[in-house]
Amino acid sequence: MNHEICPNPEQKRKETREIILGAVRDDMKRIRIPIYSNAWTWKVCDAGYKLSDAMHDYDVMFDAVCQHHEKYHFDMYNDLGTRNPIRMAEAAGTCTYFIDDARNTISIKDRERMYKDEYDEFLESGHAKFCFEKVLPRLANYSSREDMFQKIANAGREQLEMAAYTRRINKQFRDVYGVPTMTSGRFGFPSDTLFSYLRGLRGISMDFRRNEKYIVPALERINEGNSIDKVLDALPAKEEFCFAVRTVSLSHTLMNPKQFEKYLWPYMKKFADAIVERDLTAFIWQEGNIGHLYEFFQELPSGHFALLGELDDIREMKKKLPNLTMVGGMSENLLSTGTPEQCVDYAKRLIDEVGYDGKYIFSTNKMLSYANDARSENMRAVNDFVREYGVIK
Amino acid sequence: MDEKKPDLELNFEEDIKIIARDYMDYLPETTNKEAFLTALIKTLANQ
Repeated sequence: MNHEICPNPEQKRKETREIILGAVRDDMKRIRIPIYSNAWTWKVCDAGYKLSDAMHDYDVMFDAVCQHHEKYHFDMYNDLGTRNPIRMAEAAGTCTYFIDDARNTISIKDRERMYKDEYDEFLESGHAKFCFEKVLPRLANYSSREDMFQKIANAGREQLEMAAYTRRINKQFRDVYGVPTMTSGRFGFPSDTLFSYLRGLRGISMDFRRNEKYIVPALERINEGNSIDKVLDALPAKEEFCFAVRTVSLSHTLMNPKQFEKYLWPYMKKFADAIVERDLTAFIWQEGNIGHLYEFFQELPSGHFALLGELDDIREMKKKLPNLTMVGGMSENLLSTGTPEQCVDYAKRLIDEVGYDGKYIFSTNKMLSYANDARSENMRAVNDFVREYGVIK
Repeated sequence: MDEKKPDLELNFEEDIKIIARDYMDYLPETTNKEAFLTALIKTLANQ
């Protein structure tokens, strides 16, 4: 496929970055409501490819991601086809992904990778040693030490391939399309590692009742070497990205406010303080609901953070969290089943009711994954409309 | 489940030195191979 070329990508990138940051920072002009792509596996299917083909062939993924931009011209993209490094996991023999081409989904089976009686060993070993000696052999069927060593080395080679694809697609978006880089990196909270990748959701739910004394020490052990300052020290020049980092969190959905205050908030507070101290911006993505945790998010200073609350009512969030830039709101159900006119009406109400002060990034709340999550003509109509109607007067 | 698997007698500190030395010749000499491996192992476990 021949891909389109932006006549002046450098100028467009600069202008789009100002539009995006203008929606977040209090010291910049609010220009227009930016449009953010929350499309994940949907874009592969929308481009006419099978998910398993795109996940295994970087040329196919490259074309699918480029088609996504050329059809809809979003201002900012969360995923450029790098989210699920399945080739790496397959090379290591540790792949837990399951691709369903018929439903266009990729899923991971929730399982315990660290058993309930292994906390002491985990605390003694530390994260990397425990992963090497316990977790990887549990995920894979290594026939011998040599087999394991070779497969890990193979995964390293695949990681380099993935890095090459990442550089290629970033260059295409930046230097050919004039799209600014959304974030310079990711930052994870230790509770998500403990919940999602060590104990599993079922395991951690039991630990809240039976192994509670181990949770804080385990979080501290995971957090070693996971310093936000280290991440921020390695950032390129500010002009090279919109948000310094993006966080994605799911573990809060299992916590009541007291547990959140103990297990997640200390890390989030430290992260937020570092962002503010360096006068940067961050994109906070909270899966599930955060309605029970608004009091914590109210503490985040204005002008630095954009928040996507996946399942929360965006109008309610706007009232409760005026300090944050709201992200989301567009109904993927309507994008899937409605007419272009209905979708545009819905988008208009969102801009009027949530984006009236310009502190808003337009997007769907939920990740677009399934083939039927949106109709192409609806997506085009909505983006064309928001680009014109979302101009701040 | 683990009982069915062979005991690989792993030792993280010693084994990453072996992998770095004997299995990762595709990396440039200037790369800190053990640091690369340590990050890779955590990435693989977090998939």
